[in-house]
Amino acid sequence: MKPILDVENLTRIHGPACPACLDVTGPDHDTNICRHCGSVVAVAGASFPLHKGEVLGIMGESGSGKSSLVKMLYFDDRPTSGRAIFHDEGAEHDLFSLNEAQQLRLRDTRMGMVYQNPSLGLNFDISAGGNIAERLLMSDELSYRVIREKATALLARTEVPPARMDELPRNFSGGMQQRVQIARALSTGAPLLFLDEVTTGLDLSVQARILDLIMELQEVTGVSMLVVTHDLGVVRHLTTRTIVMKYGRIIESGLTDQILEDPQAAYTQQLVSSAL
Amino acid sequence: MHPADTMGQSRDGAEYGFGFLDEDAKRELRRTIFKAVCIPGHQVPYASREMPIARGFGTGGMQLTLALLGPDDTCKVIDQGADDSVNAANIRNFFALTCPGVTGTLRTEEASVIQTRHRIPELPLRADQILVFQVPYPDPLVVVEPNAATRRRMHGRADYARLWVKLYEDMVAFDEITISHRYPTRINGHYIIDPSPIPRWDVPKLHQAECLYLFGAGREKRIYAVPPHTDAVPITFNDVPFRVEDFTDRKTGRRHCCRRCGAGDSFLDEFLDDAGARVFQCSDAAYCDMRLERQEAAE
Amino acid sequence: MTDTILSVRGLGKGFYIHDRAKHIPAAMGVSFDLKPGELAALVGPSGAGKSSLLKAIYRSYVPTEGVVNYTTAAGEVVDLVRAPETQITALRRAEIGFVTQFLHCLPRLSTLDVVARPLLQQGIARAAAHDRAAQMLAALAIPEQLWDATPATFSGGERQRVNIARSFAQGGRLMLLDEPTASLDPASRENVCAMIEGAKAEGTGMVAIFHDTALVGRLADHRIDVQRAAFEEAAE
Repeated sequence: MKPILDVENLTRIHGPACPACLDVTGPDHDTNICRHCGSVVAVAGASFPLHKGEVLGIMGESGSGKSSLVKMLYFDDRPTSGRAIFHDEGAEHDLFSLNEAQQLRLRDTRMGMVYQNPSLGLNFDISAGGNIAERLLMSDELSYRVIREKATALLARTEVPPARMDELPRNFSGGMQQRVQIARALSTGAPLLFLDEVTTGLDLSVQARILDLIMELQEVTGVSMLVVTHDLGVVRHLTTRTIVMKYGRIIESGLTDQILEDPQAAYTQQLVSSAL
Repeated sequence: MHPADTMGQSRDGAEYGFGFLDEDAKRELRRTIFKAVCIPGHQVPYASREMPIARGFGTGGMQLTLALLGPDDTCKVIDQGADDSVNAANIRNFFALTCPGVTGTLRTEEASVIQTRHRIPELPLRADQILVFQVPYPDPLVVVEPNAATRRRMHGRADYARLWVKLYEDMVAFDEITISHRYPTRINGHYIIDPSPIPRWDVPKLHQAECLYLFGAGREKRIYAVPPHTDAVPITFNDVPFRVEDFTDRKTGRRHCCRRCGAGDSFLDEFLDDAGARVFQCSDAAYCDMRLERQEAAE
Repeated sequence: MTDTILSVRGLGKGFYIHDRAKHIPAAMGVSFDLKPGELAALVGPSGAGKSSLLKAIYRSYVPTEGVVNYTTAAGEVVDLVRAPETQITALRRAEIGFVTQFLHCLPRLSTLDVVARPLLQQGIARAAAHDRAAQMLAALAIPEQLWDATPATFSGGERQRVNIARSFAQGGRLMLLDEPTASLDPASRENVCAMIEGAKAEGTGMVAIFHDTALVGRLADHRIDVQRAAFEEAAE
């Protein structure tokens, strides 16, 4: 398997940042706040590959830096330092050396994101179909008929009833909003998908259906996914490999079943054993 | 239009500026115009001056016109196609009052500078003519993005998908694009402009024109341009062609004609006559008058 | 060496529990060889670490010591202890199967989909995958009216059989079986034995743990004694 994404030494420090920041934070120091300058080290020195067709989990408590990591890769935030190479069908993109227009172009056409909060991923002022149409239009699809057909098909695939495609997503249930988000993220056939706590806050039965849907779509499309979650169940069902983060550091990575059954790091052992 | 000629002499021999605006204001406006012409469709910010009328009544257009006019110019002002509305007449009088030598005219073909609100004249404009639009809302993205800084970045990237989404929503709701005026139009393959509240009828006239089109928004402090021989394409879907207003009479299947001059090729205003009947008449008064004159001369 | 599919040398597993700062040995120094079509049974007292060894071979556990040389279909010898995760993932998908005692699955999937899923992941067409899944379920005597229901609602024995059906549907060159007949009635157990014998005949190498010593005698080609880890290394 070839990597689709190579993340190298990605670091994000909020605040003034001083030379000591990285030395006095992390799991060993039990904090992500630099005691010298007060900066918050959200992510430090994160390196990992994401392979083609792989579902990689990023697990950790809130504040561990897992969402920050994905936000940078989706250009919602800028790293303080580090690189990420996106191997996109022959093209190689050094993500953080691209200009804003190139970054957003890539994000609009070659990446997808499903946020925990649907209001971040969807425009609530336009219809569910319009939300899909927007992504298609961004990738230069300018035929109304094709857009309409694709939007209908995508929403059908994520089990949004066609009768509701012209309704505003603000009127939808949380689970349905996530479905629209997933349809939107998949709409351009992007090879890289980020899922940020997609099932958090949903009813258990809805969670299971959404996970199921994601799994099925992953199998059909072969899309590579980075799944951020604090939920061990999500990790177990969805991912083949898992990264565990704490205080901005990757403290352990391995096959998902190994992380869950034979965690090596003290923190992971604690995390796994505290699961209900 | 003749910067070298715009300096006059005061009674004590000191030079003073031509027209209403001071030289600094005119210089800034002209530089802004150059920039706007160089970057077709790009909204160039400028320091909009106070005018002796309220903002929103055409101050952007007036400042452009005042920066362009020289003593040799002939100027026409139209409002919704008519030269005789209060607003148009007063602005024309104001130019005559403050710009010595400038002649006012009602004839499109005589004017070197035409200031307009909501219409483009029916007669094709020539290379030696400039059309100045009064613009209430310069940014077409304002309907989809409230943040001005974000809008400017979107323009920079030509990120206009959300405008098309509006068209999509229109198609879903009405099976047609219902934008009647201010139709978003892509200039030179990049920037999309708000062409001011002209009807769809006038939008194709922006494309590959002989004349220069300048747009001034006084309240919003923006100037932009569609230079001669520049592409101006109304945005639409590949399979939903752009359409101008249709004046076909549903009953007879024939096109309505102007009740005054009989024109069948002009943009028509529809209204009720004194007897309560629906009638149609050229929106462009000068065009209508010109046709009547020619008909009289022919008789 | 060419016809050896699996060569285990000195495989051991221990756990370090950070909470209690304690090292717990689970299994130590096991060595054996396996040829295609052979079954090696891990035998030993409860708590000797048989399951741990099986998981260590599958890499669900990180082995503490030893070498597990596996010969792939392409003829390449891979040390499963040290192979990169992506290679393990690929092997699991295509060549190495594991039958656990418990079945984890999402509640919404039908039994047929649960069984067909690994086949779909291998890129087999849906219809063919469903055919094979149906065949396996039938062989294990799961009533057809249950195929559309989710296994989450099944009894322990039924679930176990679904699990076995899934693993055998996928097949593979090496299968690891952790008490595959533990909660089965005699008839089902017989079906599973037949299935194991069938797979052996097709050349699948197997490492298995049976709670029933009679099955060891019937199915195993090798008997690997696993001693409590405190003891010295056990020989084959």
